[in-house]
Amino acid sequence: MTGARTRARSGWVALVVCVLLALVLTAVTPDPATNVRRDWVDGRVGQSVVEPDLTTTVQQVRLARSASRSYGDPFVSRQRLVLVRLAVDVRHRQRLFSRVTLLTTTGLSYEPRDEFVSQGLSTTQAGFTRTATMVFEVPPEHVPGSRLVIDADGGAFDFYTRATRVDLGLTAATAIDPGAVRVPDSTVRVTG
Amino acid sequence: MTGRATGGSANRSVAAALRGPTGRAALVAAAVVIVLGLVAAFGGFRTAPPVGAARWAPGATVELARWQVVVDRVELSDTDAYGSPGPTTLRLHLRLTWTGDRSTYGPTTGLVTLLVPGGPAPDPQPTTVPTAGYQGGFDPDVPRPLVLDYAWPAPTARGGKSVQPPAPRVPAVVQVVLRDEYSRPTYLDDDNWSLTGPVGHVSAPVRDVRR
Amino acid sequence: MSTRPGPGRAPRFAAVAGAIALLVALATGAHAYLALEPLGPDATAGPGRTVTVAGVDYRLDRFAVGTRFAPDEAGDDPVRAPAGTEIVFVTFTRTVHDRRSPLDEQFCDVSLRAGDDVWQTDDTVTYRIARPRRLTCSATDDAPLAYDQPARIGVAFLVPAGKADRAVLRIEVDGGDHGVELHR
Repeated sequence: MTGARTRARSGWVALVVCVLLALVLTAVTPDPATNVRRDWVDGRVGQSVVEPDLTTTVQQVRLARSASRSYGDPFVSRQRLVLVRLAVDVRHRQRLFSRVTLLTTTGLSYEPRDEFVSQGLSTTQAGFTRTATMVFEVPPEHVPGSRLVIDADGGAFDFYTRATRVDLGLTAATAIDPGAVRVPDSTVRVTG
Repeated sequence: MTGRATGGSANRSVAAALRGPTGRAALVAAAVVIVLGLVAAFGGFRTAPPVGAARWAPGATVELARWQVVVDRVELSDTDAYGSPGPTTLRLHLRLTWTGDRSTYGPTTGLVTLLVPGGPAPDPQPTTVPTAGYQGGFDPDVPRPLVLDYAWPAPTARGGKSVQPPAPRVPAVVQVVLRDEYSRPTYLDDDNWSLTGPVGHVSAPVRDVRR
Repeated sequence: MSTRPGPGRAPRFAAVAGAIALLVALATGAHAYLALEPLGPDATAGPGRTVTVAGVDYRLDRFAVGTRFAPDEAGDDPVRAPAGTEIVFVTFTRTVHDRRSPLDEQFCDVSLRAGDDVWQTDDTVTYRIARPRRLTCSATDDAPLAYDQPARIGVAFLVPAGKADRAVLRIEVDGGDHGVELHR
């Protein structure tokens, strides 16, 4: 009798412990939607940053107050325009470059301006290199220390994968281009 | 002695009655009436004003959970963004600053709505007028203009086509109603937000800029 | 006489239950993982041969690799591959026989594969090149589908020169559950 009661009680204790453990784990585990784990590949301007299927080389970074395309009026900003010229070598399967952002040290994430979509990164097939310029509009106080992030395209499941992060070398002392910077359309050629 | 005994037994019979089923029902009913009365006394049953309780002036910065909104001015226009003839619209000039962490497409539908006191109602779906070269989304902490065209009066469907009734008169003022957002995380989305009811409005005079 | 297991056998039962749970998890995970990249196509075929997969016939009509193709619009310039690249132009015929497969739900995922490399169709080249009216397996308003009626489809790819030598056309249907490979 006593033995059965002890076994029953230890069963209940085990159940409570398991439930508490599940609760604690759920509470402390970061939300996967906003804290996606990445195996970051870090680099600097002028350096080729290599992932298995992508090599990224940021060639030049400029700050400006206005930028122009081959058509239309210049885009004028009261903030800073961060212009990142880069070349990407795509291998094995096409890249959409749908998740390219500028990440500030203050934890803010900026998408490239849609006004410069023809000048920026877009779908590139295996075996080709695209040269493009990404244009971001960022308040001056958030510019220093910013990094360019080229994240995995993402699919039905966001799983642990590699992604590129490039320190753009921007500081509070980085000079601002005085006039409207001309931004060319992006181009594609065979890699190599 | 007798009085005290009588009083004591009267109390006991009231208590006994309250303990019975009818007594319990009466207690519950009384509690409900008291609660409802208190709610009514504190204004809980008053209809929420459709324009919200707060009032702001044009040009004032309204701080919302994820947006800073400035209502600059409202115009009555009959041209499109490029100066070509178009439908009659109430053109709302705003300045918005997005204070979220990541770039976003634009303010949630319903965050800003336009009311014309005395009617007729404008089209609830505005079109965006490209301004200052902006065609894309909103970036964190970057103030930028947003111009919205509300067809006024709202077009109606007549014989399979959309027809706009003629504008009756220039409204003296319109009400730009603002709603706020509150965080409502779901199981799948940590960053889900919902709209509140109207929190307030800006009464803006209308400038007639029609040709 | 107690029918419950004694204290000595409980850890063994726990171990067996744990092992079964792990096996189930392994099987479930492996299935999901394999679904991301199917191991291989259901059938392969060379030019002129017909194969049937999931109630649909597939036949390769043309698999051409070159740097210059005739344009779709008479009078336009020929379609040329940019320097260092080649155009791969493939036409195939698809005939739906299985009545259980709705005609308005015919979707194909078409890609060109060579070794580890995968290419998606090039829209610009596909539109400009002289080809059958259909670009996809799906029915359209001006190109509906009918059971037992062959539908000829043409797609074009732009690949680095020399990469198309061993390339195959892969057609995946049912979200990748079934696939056909057509080769030169």
